[in-house]
Amino acid sequence: MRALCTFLFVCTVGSAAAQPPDVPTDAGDAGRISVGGELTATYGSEDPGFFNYATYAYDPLRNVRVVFDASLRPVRQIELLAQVRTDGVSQARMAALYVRVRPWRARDIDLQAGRVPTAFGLFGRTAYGSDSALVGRPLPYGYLLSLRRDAVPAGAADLLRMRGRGWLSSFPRGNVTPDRGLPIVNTDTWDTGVQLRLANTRLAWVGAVTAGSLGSPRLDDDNGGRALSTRLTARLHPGLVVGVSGAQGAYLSRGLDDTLIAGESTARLQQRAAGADLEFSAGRWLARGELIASRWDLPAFTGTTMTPVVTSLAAWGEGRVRLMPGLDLGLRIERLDFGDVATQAGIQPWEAPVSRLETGVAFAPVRHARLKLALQHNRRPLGGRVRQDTLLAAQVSLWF
Amino acid sequence: MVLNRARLVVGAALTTALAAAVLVMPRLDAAQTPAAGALRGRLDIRRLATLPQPRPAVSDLGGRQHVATPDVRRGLVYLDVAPRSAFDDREPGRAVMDQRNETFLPRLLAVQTGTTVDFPNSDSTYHNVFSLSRARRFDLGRYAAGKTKSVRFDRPGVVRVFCDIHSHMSAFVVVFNHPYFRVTDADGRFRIDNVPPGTYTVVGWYEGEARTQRAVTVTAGAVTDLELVVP
Repeated sequence: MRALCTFLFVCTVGSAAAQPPDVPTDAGDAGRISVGGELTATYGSEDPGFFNYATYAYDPLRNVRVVFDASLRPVRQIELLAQVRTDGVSQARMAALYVRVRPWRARDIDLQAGRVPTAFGLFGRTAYGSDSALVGRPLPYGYLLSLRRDAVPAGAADLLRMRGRGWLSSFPRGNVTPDRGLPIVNTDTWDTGVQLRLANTRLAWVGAVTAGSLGSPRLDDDNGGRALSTRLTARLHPGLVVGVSGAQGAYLSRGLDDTLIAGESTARLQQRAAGADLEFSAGRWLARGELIASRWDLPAFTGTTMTPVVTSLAAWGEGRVRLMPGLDLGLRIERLDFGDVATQAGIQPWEAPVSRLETGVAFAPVRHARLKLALQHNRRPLGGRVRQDTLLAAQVSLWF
Repeated sequence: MVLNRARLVVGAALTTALAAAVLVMPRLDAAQTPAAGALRGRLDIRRLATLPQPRPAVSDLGGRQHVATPDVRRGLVYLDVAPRSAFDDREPGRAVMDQRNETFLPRLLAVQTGTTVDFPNSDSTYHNVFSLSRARRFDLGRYAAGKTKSVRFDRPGVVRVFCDIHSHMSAFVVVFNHPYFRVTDADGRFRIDNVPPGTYTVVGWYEGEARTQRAVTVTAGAVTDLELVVP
């Protein structure tokens, strides 16, 4: 991962430094304060299979989310940014709080420090007013796996027992209280650390060092391991952007150290992920897709000394067409597969593969409002209490 | 939302007023048209509009570049009720609203019905010009630098124009079915020529609303001076 970071950095740094010195920017208005916000209310079918849940109690298909963004630029080079969110009746929480430093007006170089947006992947940094006609998030960005940061399986049988139960997972080692598992990439909570971004008109590179991991962002470090993440995008044409991402970080809590065998430590048990993505738009059409491979080191199973590794492969693609002014039609197809583990019952995927098809229509009666209606079909034949389900959801969003 | 509704009402009022003019004003035969006069003056905008800042780029991995400051110094002056001869057939016109440094240039464009407006993209990124206004609902889709797409405006009214990709980009196209209007210069000055003699209500319009009006008598062969104040 460090080698990849270095390579991607070198690809971009030369050209970022070569930016023309007279590029006009909006960075000149010191003292500027700007705010923005979005209210999103969603009501949909019950989701007894927990295909969309981000926590055991929080169903994104039945939720009212309020997001409030603010930025303050005390001097030209420095900007303070914050985002406050509430979900349902929960307390407001600070989803983002960081400082952005742009030392040179004419160079597209930014340093960000604090609770920063994830550098990894295509999803999670969406454009304003939402440019999708769909309600659900891609599976790798929210679907809960059985893996947890504070509990681990004692053997492969524990993994099989928890297949499709990421919404309320339990393992015998560590915290035995059932709780939610981890997604591959957590976009609900951002990680804490520093980010460096270099860009020119065609290439943009971001590298970040943070406290948590891709699936378990943290406000403070709880395992002595640092997470590295990086992303390089190339704008091959104004409407065609390709990107590659990588991340690695210790994802288990230090509290599990007592359960590990000699020589193992939570700081060395990592989640590693790599992704490739593409976005194309032209006229009324927009298409994007991504492939994400991830692997997690697990503590040695009881009675063994080898560190087991479990893997996943996610693929999703979506398209949107504007049928007429203010009216969009969208479609997403996705699949989340998992690697095999050896058990007494034979070789089997350690988690239950999921496939999803979602289609939706979005209508904007006025510029600041958007109504969506989406239909989502989920299949998970190898695990969970509900193996397949079709869900309908309506959403209203207002933004300023 | 309130602002949008206000703009819709203003647009509807503008349309109604212009349509009423056709019915109210007696048609002047071309041969009987007396020598025209002119209106000259200044729209004094006492407090310039404060446009919303671009939304905070909290989810971005870096700052924005190439964002220019829109020009909010210009207003619009027009006759509320125009002489009937103003609605005679004429050649459809053409106008340009550029997109440069994530800003529409000009931010305020006034045209007659039947005019085709070109929207070139002079930025290096995609733009997606659209409007949800009743007077003209359109969406030009995403297109790249160097490309131009066009829209013909056939109904009078106020058309708010936006970019679907850049939320801070906005502009006005105000469509009249008579020629008696002018966008002011940056100092607020305007001149409307070839106005038939008569008494008219002159309207000062700024940032989506008719903000001031005055009754003015235009005499043949003379230039009538006028000062309008937008508080």
